Formats: sequence, structure tokens, C-alpha cells
Amino acid sequence: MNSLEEPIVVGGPARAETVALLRAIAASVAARRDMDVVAIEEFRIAVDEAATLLLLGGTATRLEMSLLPTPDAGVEVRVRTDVDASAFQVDRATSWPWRVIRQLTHGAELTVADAGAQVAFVVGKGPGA
Amino acid sequence: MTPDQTVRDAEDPVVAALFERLPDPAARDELASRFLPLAEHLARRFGGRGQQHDDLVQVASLGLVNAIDRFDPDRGVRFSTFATATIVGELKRYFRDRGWGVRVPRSVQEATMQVNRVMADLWQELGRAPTVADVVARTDLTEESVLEALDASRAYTSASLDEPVGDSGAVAGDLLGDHDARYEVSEEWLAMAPKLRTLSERERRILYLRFFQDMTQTEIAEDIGISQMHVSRLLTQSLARLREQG
Repeated sequence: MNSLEEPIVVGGPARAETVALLRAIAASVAARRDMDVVAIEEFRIAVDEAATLLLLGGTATRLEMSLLPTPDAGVEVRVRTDVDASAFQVDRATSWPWRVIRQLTHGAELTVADAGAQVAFVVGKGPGA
Repeated sequence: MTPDQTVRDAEDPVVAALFERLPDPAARDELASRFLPLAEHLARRFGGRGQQHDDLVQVASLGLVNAIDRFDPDRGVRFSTFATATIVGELKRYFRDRGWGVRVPRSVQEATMQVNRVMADLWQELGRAPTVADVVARTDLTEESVLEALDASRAYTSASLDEPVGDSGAVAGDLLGDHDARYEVSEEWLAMAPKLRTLSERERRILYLRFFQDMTQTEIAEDIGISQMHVSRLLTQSLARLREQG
């Protein structure tokens, strides 16, 4: 089921309903990368938390996620909103979402630029179980 | 002073007199009114598990009325003790009847039960977490159905009902529970722990071990003495609850 070869980009309004969509797609892609059920669940959690962090950080109109395959059967993930950078606020020291993302993924980065805010990370097959 | 203590300290002579007046409706109402803080207190202890607070108070109040009707003063048990047991029983029954926190179609509920059973077997047989493909091969479900079932598991609120939550007086160190004294409490934990007050001690402990001690779900399961699937479910539910709090 290791069939993800091309990048996938999906998005919608910056609302909770879109988060559910992103989570479902993340799980589906993870299954096709042959991740185990624990890795899939933690992938879903990471997407949930990334979207939550971005939506709580500042008002945006659009929420997007891109998924790119990595050579070792992992997935590089970018979740972003078009938030006004000057209005975006997240205290990484006390942010639960950020803590969770950092712990469940590899190379987590939060960047804020003119185009908006983005959380990027890589998920692989483990270790999560 | 908790409502429970308030009730206990004030109960004996007045409450005994009220019970002697039963089945006088006025005495029954007075007893219900007098012990309502106890019902509300117990309802709060069962909060944070996906049910509306008002609904829990209503269930607890119903338990209180049942306790008043069934209490026998001659048996030598304090009414507050009897009422607490009755109300908690009513609340637990309520949760058992409403295990699914959100509306999940019957077919998905059945698929979820099947997937959970198969996953438990596969875990034992394989000695590792199964993949979706493993589950598909063992059932008549499609990959999408398995994914849907896994997602639906998040809606099932099976957290232990024996663990009160919301100990608002606790300090950050207390939020780990006594069993965690061997762990060093980091500054980051101290900063973040206050956000976890609405979670049970076990849920907080799981979050701490996963996100501050870098333990895997399997390691946490062994440490706590529950299944990995249960750890996964508690982890997911705890984080969802924290997200709801914003």
C-alpha cells in the first residue's frame, strides 16, 4: 500500500471542519505508507495539534496541508494558514500543541512570514508504539 | 470545605427529623434541597468526559431522589454515605449507557468493536502494533472502513469512571500523582501542568510520560498496567479535551 509518490495538497476554510478533513487524509496517506495503527493515530494527533496551534494563533481564512513522500517511507507535512503574520501569537514555551508536535514528529518547525504561519514536520514509521 | 463535608456536619438531628416525616412531600423536598450540593459536587467529579454538566447534575439529582426514597435510617448508615453511593451508581450507569460521546452510526460502532478485537489479537500474535493492512487481511472490512473505525474509537469515552477529575487545588507537582516522585519535574512541565487540571490523574500521567519522558505508548502501557490500546485512547481523549479548552 506504499502508493504515495506525488505531493498531495488539500485545504479549506480555516475552521474545525477542515481540520477533520486534514486528519482523515493524513490517516489515509499514513495507511498507504504502511504505518502501524499507533503511528497513524499519532500522525492524526500531530495534524490536529498543528492545525489547532495555527488556528488559535491568529484569525485566518484558509487552512491547508501538504504531504510529501520521503525516501524512507515517511511523510513530510506542512500545515499552514494565511494568518496576518503581525497578529500571530504562540508562546512555544507553554503551548501544549507545540510540545505534542515536537514529541510526536521529527524536525518540527514553526515559521511565520508574510504569507502566513506554517508548521512543518516529518512523520515516519516510528518510534511511536 | 467541600459540599460533602458541609452536608455531613449538618446532617444528623435535622436530617433524622426530616426522614421521620416521610412520605411528607415537604420533608422530601427539604431533604432534596439540603443534599443538592452533594449531588452537584459528585456531578462535577464526573465532568470533563464529554457529557454536559447540566445533564450530569440532573442525573445526580435523580440519584439523590432515589436515595431519599430508598434510605432506611434504622440500618445505621449515614444518609450522606448512602446518598453518595447511590448518586455515583446513577452517574456510572449514565456513562455506561452513553459510551459513545458523539453520534456514530451503528455499522461503524460494530466495525469499531470488530477492529478493536482483531487489533488486540494481532498485537499479541505479531508482537508489534498492527498495520491497517494487517487488520484488513483479518477482517471483511476495507481499508477505508478500518480507518473510519479507528477514527470512531476516539468518540468512545471509556475513561475510567473511578477516577475523579478536576482537582483544582492541586499544584504542578501534585498533578503527576504520588507514583511519579521518581521523575524529575521539568520547568516545562511546571509551566504546562496547570492546563491539565481538568484531566484525571492517570490521564495527566500518560501525557507526562509520553510528552515529557519520551516513553512510547507500549512502555507507558507496561508502566501503568493497562493495554496499549487503552493508553492510545486515553492519550487521544486527553489531547482532544485540552484542544476543546483552547
